[in-house]
Amino acid sequence: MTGPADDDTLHAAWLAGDDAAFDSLVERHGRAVLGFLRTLVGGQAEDVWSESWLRVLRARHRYEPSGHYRAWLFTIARRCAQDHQRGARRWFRLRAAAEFEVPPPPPPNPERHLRLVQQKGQVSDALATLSAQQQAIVRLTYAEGLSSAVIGEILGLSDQQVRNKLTYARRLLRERLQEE
Amino acid sequence: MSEIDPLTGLLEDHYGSAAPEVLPETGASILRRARRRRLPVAAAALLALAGIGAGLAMQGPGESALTPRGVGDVDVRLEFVVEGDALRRGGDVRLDEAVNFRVTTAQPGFLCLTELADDGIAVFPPPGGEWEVTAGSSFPALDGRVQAWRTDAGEGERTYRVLLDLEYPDCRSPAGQAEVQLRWVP
Repeated sequence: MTGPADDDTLHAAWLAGDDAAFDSLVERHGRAVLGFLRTLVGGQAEDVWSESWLRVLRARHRYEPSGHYRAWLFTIARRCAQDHQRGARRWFRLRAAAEFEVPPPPPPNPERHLRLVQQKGQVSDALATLSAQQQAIVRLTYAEGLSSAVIGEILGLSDQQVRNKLTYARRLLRERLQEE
Repeated sequence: MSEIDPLTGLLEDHYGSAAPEVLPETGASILRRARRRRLPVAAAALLALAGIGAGLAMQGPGESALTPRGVGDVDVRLEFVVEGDALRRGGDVRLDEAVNFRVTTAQPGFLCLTELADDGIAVFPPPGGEWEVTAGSSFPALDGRVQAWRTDAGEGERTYRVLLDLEYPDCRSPAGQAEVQLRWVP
């Protein structure tokens, strides 16, 4: 008669010393957090994912039950990704300035682009042309079903900004998909 | 308007049909990592951030900026140097300059360097990395090359904190720490 415990109940159990409750939270939300991080930091997602959960551990007593547990996790993950990007950018910039010139990225190759479309599917390819933030908004909207207000809290944007960016991302996606 | 437009349907299908991600680790392993026990500090360690390399000017902004603020059982000392002519300007660092760090320890262990801006960001090692040092001097380095640090948080005074953990790379059980302040100027 009872379904799986809700997130706030699991979190409370974890705070009370039930390690299995934390394990359940990781199992329940870990893949969504990993997918979200993949849109923000690409191949570094696994590293940032691990760091994000350590931050969740540190912040666990500050969580206020709200029914938006996953959004809270996404917010921590987003900050972690942001720190990761800031740090990597600064070190990389100095290394590039001090030791070698970084070659510009090669121009788009239409033939290769076409092959990728065929291999990975039109939607994946169209999504990949969006910025990391646009991808995150699209993912949180259509994979997680979150409202623009909640997405705004996660990404540090206003409700209206999220709506505008989603509208623009959808327009870009339509254009890219119609080009195929 | 409850009708689903074609693009929404495409996106929902796309995410719904994605292969499930394999988690990097379980909750239990995360907890195990976080619960590393703290070992007693056996002896004092010395940390020093100091000038390195040709072409670098040793910064001497005075004792206020160099005063060690370490806490705990371990003797900690913290210094830094800045590229360029910061010495003549009395210690401020221009936003287009960079800071070099050197750490000297009397014992091997793990170091973590953090810029305490906003909610604090890790300077070194990069996320997922470890900065394991032997006794003596060592430098933040990537691919065997010594790195310098430049803030992108804009002008202002920032505190830098280095932690020494004798056993664990995340520095959550520091045996000692030290802080120093830098002022970034246009």
